[in-house]
Amino acid sequence: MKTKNNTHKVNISESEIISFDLYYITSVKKKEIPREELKVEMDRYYGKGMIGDFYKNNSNIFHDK
Amino acid sequence: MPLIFSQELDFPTNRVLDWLSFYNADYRKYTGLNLKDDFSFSDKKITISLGGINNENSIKIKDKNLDNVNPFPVWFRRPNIVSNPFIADFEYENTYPENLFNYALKQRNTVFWNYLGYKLESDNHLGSFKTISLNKPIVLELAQKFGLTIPSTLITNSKDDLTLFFETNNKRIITKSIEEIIPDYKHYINNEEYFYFYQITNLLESLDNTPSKFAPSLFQEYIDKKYEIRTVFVDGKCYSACIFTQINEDTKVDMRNRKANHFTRYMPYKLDSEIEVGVLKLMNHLELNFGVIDFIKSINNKYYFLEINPVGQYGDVSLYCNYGLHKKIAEFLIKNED
Repeated sequence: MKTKNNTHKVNISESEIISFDLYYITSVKKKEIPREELKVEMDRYYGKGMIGDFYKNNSNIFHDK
Repeated sequence: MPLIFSQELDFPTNRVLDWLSFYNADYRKYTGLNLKDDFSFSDKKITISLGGINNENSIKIKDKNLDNVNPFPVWFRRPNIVSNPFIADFEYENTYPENLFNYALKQRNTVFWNYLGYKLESDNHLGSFKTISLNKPIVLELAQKFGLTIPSTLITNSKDDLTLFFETNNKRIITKSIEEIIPDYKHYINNEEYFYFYQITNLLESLDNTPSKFAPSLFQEYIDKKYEIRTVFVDGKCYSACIFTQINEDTKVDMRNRKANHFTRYMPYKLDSEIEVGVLKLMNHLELNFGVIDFIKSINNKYYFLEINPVGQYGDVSLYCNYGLHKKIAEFLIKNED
């Protein structure tokens, strides 16, 4: 079974009621990206004109609710 | 005024709102958070009148008549995540079991919500209130009926049948969810670190160490891809992108399996006309005017239909291929306002 690197499977015991794909839920350990770094990352694309509306009021990206 | 049913955080929805703002169009976006403002009947009058000698049908909310033909263009972007606003908790103490009573209550209140969805869907709409997910085996069968080729597919709970299928397909098959993939989940272990749970399509090159017991599950032959094609179907037109998933090892089996900020290359693509006709017939049969459809082009230059997501993400196709779909959807909503 090929899974993404640095991942491990969730251990689910075998049963006739569990669909085959559910034995292969994977998880990866990640680190939260600080908002300042994220902004730098977004600025790269903002500067290239690829995505020009990250900072609009109704944008998803920095939604604070 | 267009009504938009979506999630609070959905990138494409907000891009369409940007365009509606650009055109100075008024709109109302409903998410799980504000649905009750207009639709809950705990604090407002809701009356539906049907039939009689004069055949006068009406639906009134807060004394506002929605009329027998819905006057608003509606975009059912992601209504599935939006909860039914007519269902609420209440205190119950009785001998009749609470779960059975709640079941009966939910059924009744859902009828009204579904009726409202039916009315809103009766005219000028994009997306679907009732079809928010599709049954994969049914769609695969229909796709075949309308002339699209699908990969050899097996749904079984038998390890023996799976083994035979594996052997006859050159010992390379894929398995994926028969329904939607599991919702992503973040489990925080401290303020900074978390485990991210997700699901992707898996390639099976050996059946060793695989479960011997499982519920009926979906398996398909592995097709050596030239590239993947994602088609966004909007109001009868196909906007397709060719996605070069085979360049990167990670995205060869499942294009979602990519590292953040490692973009996969997209190019605008024109599907063969007979494939587009098949798509149109299939979407008409399913009564859908929006959907995101995945295809594979094999190394033998054959198209394989994979699946349709009626609430799928289309922002990548729109952005990388300059289709301007957010603008087109906004214009669709404004055009149908007249």
